[in-house]
Amino acid sequence: VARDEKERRRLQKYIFSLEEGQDQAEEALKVSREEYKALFENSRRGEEVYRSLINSSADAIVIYDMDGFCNYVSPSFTQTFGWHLAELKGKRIPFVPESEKAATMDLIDDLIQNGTPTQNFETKRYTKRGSFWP
Amino acid sequence: VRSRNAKEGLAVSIGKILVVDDEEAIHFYLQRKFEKLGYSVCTAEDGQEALDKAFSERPDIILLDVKLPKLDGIEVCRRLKSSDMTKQIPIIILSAKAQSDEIAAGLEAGADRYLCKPVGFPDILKEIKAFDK
Repeated sequence: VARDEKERRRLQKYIFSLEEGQDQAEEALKVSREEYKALFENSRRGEEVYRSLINSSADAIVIYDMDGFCNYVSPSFTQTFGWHLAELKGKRIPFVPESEKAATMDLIDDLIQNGTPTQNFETKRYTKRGSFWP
Repeated sequence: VRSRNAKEGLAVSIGKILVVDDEEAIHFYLQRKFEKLGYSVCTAEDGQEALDKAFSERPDIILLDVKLPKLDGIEVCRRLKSSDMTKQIPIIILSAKAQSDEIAAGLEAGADRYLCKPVGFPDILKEIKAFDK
C-alpha cells in the first residue's frame, strides 16, 4: 500500500511537470507565431516601399524571372516602350534587336553567374511601334 | 473520482481557492494554473496552516491533500465541516491514498469529492467547476 501511494505521488508530480512542459511549448509556439507575423508584416511593408520606388522611378524598369520571362514593368517602361504589363506578363519582350542579342546575353550571363552589375552599357531596343529607342 | 453527495449538494460562486499540499511542486503548479484562469489562490503546506487559512482567507473551495504535516487532511476536513463558519465550503480531497477504506474515511469526514492522484489539471478544474453556480 505504501509503495502504491508513493508511486501515485510520484506520478502526480510527473503529470504536472508534463502539463507544465506542454504549457511552455504552447507559449513558445505562440511567441513564434507572433514573431513570424511581425516579420511577415515588415516584409510586406518592405515590398510596398520597393514597389512604390519602382513605380515612381523615371527609369524604365523590367523584372524578369530566371527564365527570362517578364514579371513586371514599371509605368516609365510603358511610357517609354509602349507595352503594358498585361501584354508582357509571362512572355519574352520582343524588343531586343538581332544586333544586340549576343552582347545582351553576355551581360545577363555575367549577372546571373557572377552577380556583376551592368554599368555604362549602351544599347538600343525596339518600341512597340517598331521604332528604335533611343 | 469518488463522491458521496455528488453535485446536488454545495454550489458556490468560486473566486478564491485554497490549495493544501505539502509538496511545493504541486501547490506552486496548481496556483499558477488557477491564477492564469483568473482565480485567486491561497496555499497551505500543513494541516494547521490549512485550518488557519480556511478561517482567515474564507476561500470558496478547498483542494485538500490527506498526508500533511502537523494535522492530516482527514482531520482538517472533519474540523472544517463541523464549524458553522466553514461547513458550507466545498472540500475536494486530492490524495495519493486510493484504498477504498481511505476514500471512505475522507467522505465520512465530510469531503464533497475525493480525487485519487494521479490526476491531470483539466480533471481537477472540471471538479471545481462542478461546484461553481
